[in-house]
Amino acid sequence: MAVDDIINAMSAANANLVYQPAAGVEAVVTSTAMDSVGQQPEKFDGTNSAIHRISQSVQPNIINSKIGVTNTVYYRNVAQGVGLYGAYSAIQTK
Amino acid sequence: MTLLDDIKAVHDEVNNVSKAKLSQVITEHPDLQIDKINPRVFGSIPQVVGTCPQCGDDMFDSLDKTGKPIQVCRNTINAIRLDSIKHKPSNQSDELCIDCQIITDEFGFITGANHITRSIEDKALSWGIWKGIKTLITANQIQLKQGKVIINES
Repeated sequence: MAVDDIINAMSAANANLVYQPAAGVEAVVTSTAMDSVGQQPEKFDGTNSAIHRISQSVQPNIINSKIGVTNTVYYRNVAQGVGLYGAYSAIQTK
Repeated sequence: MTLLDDIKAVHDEVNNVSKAKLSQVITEHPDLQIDKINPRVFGSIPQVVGTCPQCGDDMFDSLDKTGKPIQVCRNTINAIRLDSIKHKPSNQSDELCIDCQIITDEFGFITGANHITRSIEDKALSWGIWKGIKTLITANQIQLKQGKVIINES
């Protein structure tokens, strides 16, 4: 993915999906899809996470997010449950 | 070797490849100070500005960490970038990457990774207990086929 390209990914069923740009690369996550109520997209630094809390009562399928990610603080969709998937779209900006 | 050890080896494989690639680039480019390079590539269509006299790969405009323009080959940029997305070693991590998807652009540059991870131990999440790899092994719901981790969870 070069600058301006779209990055799309889906998790394996019931697994975390962690998108980490390489050094020298930045991206903006513009949409997330999560099947499980209660799970939220997160920023993650490899050890700690901070939740982009949208709602505890609906699936956080966000089609208008602007979550900036870098090599050191990146993006995580937490596991959704048996047979359930997470996904995201992003645009590489640098 | 147990199945858990084998799955840890899958997780650690990216680190081994990264280490070998970085070592190769350092050997091939003895004059380059790898740790001083900011592996930037400019624009949506990076312009080739020459050929690397050391490895023969295409060279591109980039930056050092002070912001000074430099020219670096794709092999060097990719070695630094691969090193930046390697995993925490399996013996220091409570999660394992079971399917590391390296993202490469149409010009051959590594731009990131999608790490598909599973916890080693069970974890309580908002929807219930997320079975860890140890539990999946005990329940015979995880296997390794031709280096690929396959989970059949119910």
